[in-house]
Amino acid sequence: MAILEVDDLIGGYNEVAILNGVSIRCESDEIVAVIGPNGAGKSTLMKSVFGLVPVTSGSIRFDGRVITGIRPNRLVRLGMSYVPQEKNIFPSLTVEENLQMGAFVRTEPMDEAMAKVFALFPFIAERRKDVSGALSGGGRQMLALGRALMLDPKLLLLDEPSAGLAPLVRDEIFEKVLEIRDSGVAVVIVEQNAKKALEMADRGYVLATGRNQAEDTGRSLLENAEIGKLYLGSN
Amino acid sequence: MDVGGIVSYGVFFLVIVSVYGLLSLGLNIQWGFTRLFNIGVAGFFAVGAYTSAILTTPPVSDRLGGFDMPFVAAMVVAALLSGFVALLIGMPTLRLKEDYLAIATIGIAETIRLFFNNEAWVAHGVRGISGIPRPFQDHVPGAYYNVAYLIFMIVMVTLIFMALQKAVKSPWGRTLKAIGEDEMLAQAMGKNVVRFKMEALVLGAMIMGLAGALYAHFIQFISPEVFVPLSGTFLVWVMLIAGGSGSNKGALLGALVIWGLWSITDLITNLVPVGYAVKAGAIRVIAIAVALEVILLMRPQGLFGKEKTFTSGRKG
Amino acid sequence: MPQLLANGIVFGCIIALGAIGLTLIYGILRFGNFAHGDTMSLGAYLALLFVGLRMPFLAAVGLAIGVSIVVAVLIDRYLYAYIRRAGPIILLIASVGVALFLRNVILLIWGPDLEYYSREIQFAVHILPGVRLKPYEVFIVLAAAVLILLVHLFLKKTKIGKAMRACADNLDLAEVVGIDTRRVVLWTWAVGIALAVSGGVMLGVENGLRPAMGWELLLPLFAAAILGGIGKPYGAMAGGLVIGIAQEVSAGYVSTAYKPAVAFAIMIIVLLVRPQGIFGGRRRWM
Repeated sequence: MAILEVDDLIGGYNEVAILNGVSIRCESDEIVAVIGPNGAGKSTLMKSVFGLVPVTSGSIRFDGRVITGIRPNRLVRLGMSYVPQEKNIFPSLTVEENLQMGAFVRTEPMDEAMAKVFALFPFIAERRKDVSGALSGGGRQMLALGRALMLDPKLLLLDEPSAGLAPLVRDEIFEKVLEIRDSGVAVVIVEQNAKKALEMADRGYVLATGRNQAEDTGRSLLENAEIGKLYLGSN
Repeated sequence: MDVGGIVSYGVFFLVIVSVYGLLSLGLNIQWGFTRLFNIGVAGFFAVGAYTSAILTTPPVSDRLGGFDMPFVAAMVVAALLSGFVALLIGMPTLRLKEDYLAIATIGIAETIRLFFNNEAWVAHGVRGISGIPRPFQDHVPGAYYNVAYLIFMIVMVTLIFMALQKAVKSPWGRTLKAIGEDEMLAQAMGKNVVRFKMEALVLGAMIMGLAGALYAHFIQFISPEVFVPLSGTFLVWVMLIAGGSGSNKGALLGALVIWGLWSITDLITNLVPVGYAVKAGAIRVIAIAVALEVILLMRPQGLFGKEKTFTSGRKG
Repeated sequence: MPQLLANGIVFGCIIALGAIGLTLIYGILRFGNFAHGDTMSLGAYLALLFVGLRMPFLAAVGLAIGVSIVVAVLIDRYLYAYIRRAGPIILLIASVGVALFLRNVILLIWGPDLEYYSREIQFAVHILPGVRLKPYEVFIVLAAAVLILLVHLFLKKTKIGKAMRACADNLDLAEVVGIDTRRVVLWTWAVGIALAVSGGVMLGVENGLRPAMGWELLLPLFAAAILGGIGKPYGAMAGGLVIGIAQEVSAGYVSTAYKPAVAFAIMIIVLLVRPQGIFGGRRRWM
């Protein structure tokens, strides 16, 4: 059973429908990439799944149960985590405090979870007492990812994690995403950098104008010349 | 109670309503159209009143005076000076979030009041200015003066109302509304938002200054007590909200209705024994405050406002 | 001059307590609470009521804090919550109405005359060369320091305190991360009101109680919060002391009646020069 099933989702801000019937699936041990041109509705899809954007019709199922319309802070408890594209850390809190906030709903002690995150991201482990606003772009992104892992989620939603990062840092982030998948967390990743995303993904969806345009394994989409011409541009 | 007394009271009542009508119209340009949060109406009101008073009263030894200006000139100066004060306030605050303008306008209104309260050499301090001359007094028999003034006020209000109605429909007015509804969008469309906001602030302030001058010449006495935040600012806000922000008609109707309510509560509390006067006064204010909250809860667009105008405009 | 400075510090502590509450509420609830000054008055008068009922002073203050918090949360839940949808400015107008309401209820119940917690007269004592303070003034400074220290520890060490700081940084992210924002809102009111009431009581101890006591403080409160940077509690603390000292020291140069104008002038300068305040809080640019 797929960990995430989105069927025919229609929704958007106010009354403007940005999603015009999108369907995606993600199994519990894969990375699914969602790519497409600007304005395709990729970010909106993420936000709809996470309960941040209203859904007019269609359904979202997480781990078998319908979650359409459930609020974010409950979804977090159910095992879903979301990392927004920007403003995804608390700048005036330290690295450690940011992680603690990630585990807010947790009642048991969080040392183990924090240790795991620090093991995955030694860069921020070294800076655990630093005010997070002072971190570099890459450091912040790692912190944002780490924060999302504090509750041992089953599914991670990543909205353009490599945006604005230097190529080396970007590659490092993608490495980490692979490690996260290998540790048993399903990942849905939205990316502008379609090539990189598809290289790493097990499967991918191409979105445009709020609709599905294509679906295949990551490799096949990469090698598909049509897709490459239409949607991958010069990335 | 004889008929003459009632008529006399009625005329007086309507003159004051006209003054408040002008204040509301001024606030409507600032808040109703452009969403500028001016909580210092009393300040602009005071500047207008004091300026016109000082400019027209005969010379007195212990304060400014003796300019002996003709009324029209004095009123024009009063309006201009109010506008100038608005300009000074607008410069640091209009680029920033609306609450900053709010607290700045409270500050300036209080500072103005303190100034007139303390600088006795300017305007007699707490004792105020009395004996303010009345325009065209020589041309009208004493008994009918108030009625004549009322007609004068109605003419002024009508002229300004019509001018503002035209302004609303003009490109300038439409830009103000666009800014009020969605500042970011107006900015993106290339409008110099700060300039338009300043124009709205200054124009509104000038009308408020004029209202102050007209008030001073009618009542013939002003003191800092007249321009306290309650009757000088808060009441005007309730009037505009009750009538409908964004509507000039609403501004005038709101002035009538709320001043009516305020006067009725005054009449009622006058029946209370003198010892309880202050507490009765407190009840009047509580009543108005509660009325405001009820309006905000149930019908924030007031009588004439459009419901749409109360979805929060994106300010960026 | 040292005397003026000392007076300024006493007054500054009172403003700081009010300003910290104001800036927390402003930063976390996105709400410039124009009723904050009158909330200080409410707390002071409630304490007066309980002292009049023969409660020991500290217990009276504690109870006043408790009642005030309940009142504030009720107003938030049943008034502000609904009006919030109409936009932030309407919310401000509503809070002006609440301020007026509180002030006049106080006037109605207690009347306009000056009231005191106790008729006992204290004499000023030499603390330092050139500085004489009454014992309760020293107490005010110490109590304020303790309260501020407690707030600091609360924000730094407790989970809900960190959550409050997180919400002040980014309320949307706090939702996403799973922070219980409703609990944070309650605690924000609780801390903000507790500080406000404490400040109000201290003001009452220092100057006696009048219905307009809190309203008159509103301008200095906002000036202090803006000076320190909206949403930055340590900024509000520093801002409060600066405003207090500036106002008292100004008495050496201008008539004391202009003290509020001093706070106003400082605020305008801050807005012109560095609108995000000393510590870089919230501001909006076009």
